[in-house]
Amino acid sequence: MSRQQEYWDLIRELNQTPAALEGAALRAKARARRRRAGKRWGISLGSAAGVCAAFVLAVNTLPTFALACGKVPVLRELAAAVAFSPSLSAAVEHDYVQYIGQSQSFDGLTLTLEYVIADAQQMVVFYRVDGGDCPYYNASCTLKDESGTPLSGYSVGSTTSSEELKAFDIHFKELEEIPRNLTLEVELLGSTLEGENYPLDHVFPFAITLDPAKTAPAVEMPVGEWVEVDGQRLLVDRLEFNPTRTALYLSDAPDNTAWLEDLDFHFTGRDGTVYDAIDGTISASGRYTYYFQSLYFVEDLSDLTLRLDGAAWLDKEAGPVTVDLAANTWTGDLPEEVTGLTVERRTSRSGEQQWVVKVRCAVGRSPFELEFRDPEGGSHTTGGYSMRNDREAPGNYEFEYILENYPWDSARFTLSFTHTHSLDLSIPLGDS
Amino acid sequence: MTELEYLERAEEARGKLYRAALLTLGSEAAAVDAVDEAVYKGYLGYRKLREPKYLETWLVRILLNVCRDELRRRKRELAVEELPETAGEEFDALPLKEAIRCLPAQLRDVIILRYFTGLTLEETAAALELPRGTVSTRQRRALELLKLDLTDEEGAS
Repeated sequence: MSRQQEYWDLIRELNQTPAALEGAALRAKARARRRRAGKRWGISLGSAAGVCAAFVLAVNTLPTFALACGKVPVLRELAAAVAFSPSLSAAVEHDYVQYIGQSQSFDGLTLTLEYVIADAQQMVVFYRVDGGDCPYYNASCTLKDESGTPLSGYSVGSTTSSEELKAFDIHFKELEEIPRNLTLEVELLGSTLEGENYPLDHVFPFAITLDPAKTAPAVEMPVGEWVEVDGQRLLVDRLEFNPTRTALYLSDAPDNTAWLEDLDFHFTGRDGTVYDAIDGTISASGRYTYYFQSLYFVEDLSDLTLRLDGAAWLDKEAGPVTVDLAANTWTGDLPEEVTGLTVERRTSRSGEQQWVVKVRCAVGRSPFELEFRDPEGGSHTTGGYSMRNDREAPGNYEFEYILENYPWDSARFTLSFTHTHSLDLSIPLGDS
Repeated sequence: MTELEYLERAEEARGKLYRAALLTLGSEAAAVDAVDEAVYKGYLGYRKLREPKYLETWLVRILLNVCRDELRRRKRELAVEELPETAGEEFDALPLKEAIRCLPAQLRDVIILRYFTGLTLEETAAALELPRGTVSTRQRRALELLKLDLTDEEGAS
């Protein structure tokens, strides 16, 4: 079929609009009305059906959930807001929600802190913004204790949202105990439809008291099992279970020749349930913490089995790879999974000359760090990379690192891993 | 512009918005969600629109931002499937619908607006906030990559 014929066929296909598209404008109006009125069903219309279904299902099938709905005001909206987070849904379902319900106004805008879910690892704060000139808001926050002394050892995560009930997370990294009484000093950043940001020059101080009965203590489970992987030894040290997430603590043997760069793992229950949502990781000096979806509410934690699926390593002695851009060659040792490296000179769309370093790799993991150095030792960053599957050889990837405004002939890259290894190791927690 | 006028014109534009979203995102459900989101954002801001005659173009611009956000979200989870402009043969091997999705974003936006939503060159330039000449150049380059021979008058409306 010719491209022209394909075009007209595609036009015909696209003209068949789905029935779900009918009434988009009226749905928008209804959603805006709910938002203005501050009613309790404000969720993305795209996900509304799923959330309603999840909520109705939960209320009807989970007695604890229905009970919780009766205890916390307007919990229905909160259930909708957490519907797609297995960890937060479980926390709501098990009544680990604290109602705050405090509002403050400034310059025609009202900020309301609605609920908090807190445990030893983090605190998730749900809030709403009514009024104001911007369609989106993003919150940041600093913490003070009862005496007004600023706290340290935490970080705040937040994303811009147009949802009625928004949330930000406070991660307690080095703060060992959350004070029962604390002040959240919240600041707002407004954004326009076009993406322009307008910080609201105001601090909203909220003094809150956490209910110890709803701030569940962590459940610790020592594991203490050494595993040997690809010649490296790894101690699966312990697990910490909290209502909002699980932490897996690992450390490596001092005489290992490589650092652990990444670990792929999941848990399974005795009934075959698979838990596989990894939240993130932090590492320092041979100690690693992996955050995972909450397993706090699993009936018997000793029924769980930790399954290690794969690991990526970086040799401690790994040197940089120096790419001679002009000669299209390199010196140094590339990861075992890299199957080729080439360099191209390309003109960007704005007319600038740029170097493009293309690396073919048998795993979907960037072989280079984003920061690289010029021959004089100056530091630069590629600002990112693109990765795409090789259509002719599935399972192979090509990474492109673009060096813009770079007048030197060579670049020194740091490896992000030197080798990867598939694993099939099981550690039943009941044996711990 | 009155609320009623916005609602009527947004409802009329939904087909065009859907075509653009479907070609950009590739899935019917994601396209319907994106149109809903764009029409909702438009509803929140239509009173601030200085020239109501450009409502449709403005909605298209909002929709493209919604789609870009969605693509950015997906990129964090999936491999980027965009092909470089130099991959002429790879474009040839793909069905047209997929080839459009694999175009570099700047070319893809232009080709979708021009030939699948029926925006004129000037309207496309306004929606993308680009000079007319830049849109014209990108249109030509995209048509070359897709091996499509379309005149300025052709396209869905």
